[in-house]
Amino acid sequence: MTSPEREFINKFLSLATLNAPALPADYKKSLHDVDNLGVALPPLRYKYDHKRA
Amino acid sequence: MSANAKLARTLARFEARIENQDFYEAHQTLRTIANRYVRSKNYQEAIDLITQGAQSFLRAKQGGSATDLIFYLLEVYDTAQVKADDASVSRLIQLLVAIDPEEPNLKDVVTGMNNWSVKFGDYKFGDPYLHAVIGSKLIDGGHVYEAERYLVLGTHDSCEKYITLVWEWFEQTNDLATVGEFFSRLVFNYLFISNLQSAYTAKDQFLQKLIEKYSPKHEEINKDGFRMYYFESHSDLNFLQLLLLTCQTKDAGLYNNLKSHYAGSIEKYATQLDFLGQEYFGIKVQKPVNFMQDILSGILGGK
Repeated sequence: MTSPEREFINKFLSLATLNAPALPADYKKSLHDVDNLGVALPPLRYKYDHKRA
Repeated sequence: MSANAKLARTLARFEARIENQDFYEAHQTLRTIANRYVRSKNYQEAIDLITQGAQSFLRAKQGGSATDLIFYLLEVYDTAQVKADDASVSRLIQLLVAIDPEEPNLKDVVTGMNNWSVKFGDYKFGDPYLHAVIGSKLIDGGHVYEAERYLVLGTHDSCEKYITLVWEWFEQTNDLATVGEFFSRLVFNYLFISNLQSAYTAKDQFLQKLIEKYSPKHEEINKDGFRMYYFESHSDLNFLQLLLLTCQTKDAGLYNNLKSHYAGSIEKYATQLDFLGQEYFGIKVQKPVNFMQDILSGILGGK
């Protein structure tokens, strides 16, 4: 039996790919034209240890 | 004596002092001579002298003197109204590469550099090549949140660096339940600036690493050129992948459909989704109504 989520994804993808998307998948607004960075993301609960990387 | 010969002689004397560990003297002399150049508006000589001086101090591991000279260089850039072009940016990049990432001034130095490139360049948030180098230096110094912003606004290499950073950060927690929090940063930050290309690169690379290392139960779905991984126990990862495709369609109906299915995710990402709603689907965010304010601003002719 498939899960309700899997079923939703199937239907959703069928709808979403019915027409060609408005933007190509490799679309990239030029950084010259970027004038808004969106909203600040909340900090993660974990600290990054740069000495371990 | 030609200006170049004079400059070379000054630098030779300066180098000799550095070799003798006479850092204070070297610093003072160089500043005095650079000042003289600035006052007589010989900016190019001043810039060459200060840059070379800063490089020598960096080689001699004198971070304090070196960063002082870098700030001075930025002052001269500002006074001389130096445009952010290849030559002026790469001069800063070379200095930045040589800075010790543990330098206590590092954040101020990079902010100063970026502010100059904002003021005298064509990019509202600063020069992408400068950002790429700033981003990696900040990672090396452990300033990850600052690094993140620069990497997102950097070059193609910065995208790879950003993905690696978020992946390593996640790996350090070694807690599979938190993977969505990490992955969401990549997706949102690139969607915010309408960089679908990097958002897709991040999606593919990050999720492939996840599958290779932890083999979570998943299934690959291919639908008319859109490829995604369905994860049985990570519905937030599914949601974020679908969000990417939905933004690409700019179809508000689909967007609302997606949001209504993933109630838990939309609560967690409410402000992010409000922004994307406006950016891609023209959905205005309803501000809470304040009648008194509306009446007053109506009377005063504002709004």
